[in-house]
Amino acid sequence: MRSDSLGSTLEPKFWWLSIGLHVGIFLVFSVKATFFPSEAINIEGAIRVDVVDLPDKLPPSPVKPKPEAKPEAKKAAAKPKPKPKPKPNTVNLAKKRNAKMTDAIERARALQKIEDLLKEEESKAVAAAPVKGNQISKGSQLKGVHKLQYDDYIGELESHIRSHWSIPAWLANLELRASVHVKVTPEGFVKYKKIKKSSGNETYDDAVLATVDKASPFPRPSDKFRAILDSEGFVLGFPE
Amino acid sequence: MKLLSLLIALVFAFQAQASEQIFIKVGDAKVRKSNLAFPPIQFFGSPEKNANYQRVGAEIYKTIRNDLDISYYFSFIDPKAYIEDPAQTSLKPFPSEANGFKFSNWRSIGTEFLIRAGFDIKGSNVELDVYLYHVPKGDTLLSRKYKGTTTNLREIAHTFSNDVIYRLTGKKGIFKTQLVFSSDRDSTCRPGKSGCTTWKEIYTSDYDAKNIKRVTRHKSISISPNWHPDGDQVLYTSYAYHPKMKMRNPDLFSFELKTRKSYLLSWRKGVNSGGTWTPDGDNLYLTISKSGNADIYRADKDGKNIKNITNGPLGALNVEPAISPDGKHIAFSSDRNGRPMIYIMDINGKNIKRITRAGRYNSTPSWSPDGKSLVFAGWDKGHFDLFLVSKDGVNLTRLTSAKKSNGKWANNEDPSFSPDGRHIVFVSDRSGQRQLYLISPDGTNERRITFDTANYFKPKWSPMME
Repeated sequence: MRSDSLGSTLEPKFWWLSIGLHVGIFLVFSVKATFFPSEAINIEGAIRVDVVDLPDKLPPSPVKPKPEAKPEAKKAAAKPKPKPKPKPNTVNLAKKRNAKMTDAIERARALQKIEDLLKEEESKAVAAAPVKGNQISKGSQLKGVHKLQYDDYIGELESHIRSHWSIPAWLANLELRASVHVKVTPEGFVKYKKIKKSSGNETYDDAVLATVDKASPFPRPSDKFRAILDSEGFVLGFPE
Repeated sequence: MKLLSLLIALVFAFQAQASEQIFIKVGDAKVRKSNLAFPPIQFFGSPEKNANYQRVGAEIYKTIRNDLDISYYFSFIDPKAYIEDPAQTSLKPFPSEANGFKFSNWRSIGTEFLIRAGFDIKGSNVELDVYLYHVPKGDTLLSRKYKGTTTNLREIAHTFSNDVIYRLTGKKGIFKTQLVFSSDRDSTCRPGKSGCTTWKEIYTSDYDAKNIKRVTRHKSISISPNWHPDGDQVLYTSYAYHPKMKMRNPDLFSFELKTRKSYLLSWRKGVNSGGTWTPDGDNLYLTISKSGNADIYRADKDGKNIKNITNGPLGALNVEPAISPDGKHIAFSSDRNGRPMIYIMDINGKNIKRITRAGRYNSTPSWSPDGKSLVFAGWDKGHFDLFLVSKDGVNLTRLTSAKKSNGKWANNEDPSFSPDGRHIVFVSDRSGQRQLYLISPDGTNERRITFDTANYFKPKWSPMME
């Protein structure tokens, strides 16, 4: 009862006071926010940096991984470095000549093998060529699973060639670019190579062609892709 | 008409199909050094008449060899592997000369480049004949005659080395560039010596720290030198004595190398240091602390009409301005957020961006010549090391990490890029004294270039010099 009578006597007065105060506070903050904006909070200053360590020195990363370092590539890389020889020059010369001769014979044999294989492939191609009419061509377009396999093969080819791709240090950072058109036999041997777009630098173009030579034989293409790589070939961009 | 349209469409379709060739991007190449044979230089004159011919030949040979070694483009073939005796063959190949060398003899030991050189001395004049051959193809890449005197043998050699680099890469070599630095090398103080006075003076040297020449003789502390973009003047700060105030103040001076004249540019009370010219040479930027706080100011090239570029905030230090090669930005160090860090701002002081956040104390930024990255000294785990960061603050890489002979970490600081961007000169105390070193921007090829008991400070690499 007391509370009721108290409430009935005080209610209107305090209501109006309360409403007035709230409206007043609202107006004060609205005016301040509109006409007197506060300074932007400096987020930068709040960042603690002392917990962040500077990075350690890392050994220079190997330039490119060599997934398929073949003995041939190793030989080629090791060859240009002449080793200091403690023995007199005459002995060195004899050894060098012998080694040179052995190398030459081995190289000639290897070249002969490649040539034989090339001839064999060419004769196969010639034998297969005359088939015409009333027969569905094998075609060169790939779809579905074959396309996926083809993509895998291209990836394999790319890493294989990259493992042989090197240039002299003085040609680095000159932003040279060249592309070469290559055709390979079903065995993976290069049967055709020609600079499609020259870098304008003879040594760079030579390095590109030498890389193609060193990388040959390429990973052997599967049956489905042989026709494309043999007839149309592909273009290699050095570096892109 | 319809038939014609169809025909055109077919032709285009055919062309589109024909041009659709498999394209494989091989990616970046591995780089390798080229095998270079550089036999001793022949003397054409009479040894009896020229007692110092061996010294002259050795000086030229040593300088060229060191230059080409520092280029990191070549591996020198061990003379023991030579098939023919270079002393018995002429500088030109057979058959153009009956006594000429044979390319086949050099090709068979894997030589890619061959340098053949000979010289003669007439009075104090020296003539050097040099040939650079590309052995695999049997081409003559360079055939030049260089003339000089017995007092500028290094210049003759550097000129040839520059020509080799230019012939191969089409870019200028750095072998005639210079360094400027502060050093106590003429101070009487040395480790273990007491009762002496420590001075630091300004010096210039060849890029390999040879041929050191003293610039200042203030018998004071002279520090923080820097090059004019033309390479003919240096800026530096020296604690000059002011008789009226009876005190020393770090004032900014410039020094003309040809006339050997020195000019006082800024002597405002407090610090006048870290001076650097703009790439056009019209203005200079420096740190002045006349108002109590160290801030970066722009001034006319004579040091007049200064204008605030930075202002605090809240008394923060803003020091060590380094102007970008395009003249549009300034890298500097500031403790505005607590610890000294590297910042970049526009040349007028606007758009301040923080570049480094890691570490405890990052200082002395130096721009790469392409303006893409900065090298600076960062304090970490109780010592300074060099770090490389791109100008947008990413790819932070530590370049140095070396220990002293006592097993403690050495300080590596005060970096400055070479004008070709392939080297950084810096100071390291790994030997016990603060000596000058070179390093490649990928953190390889560290090489000490001073070998004495003096201390060196704040080296700056000059612009390209002819």
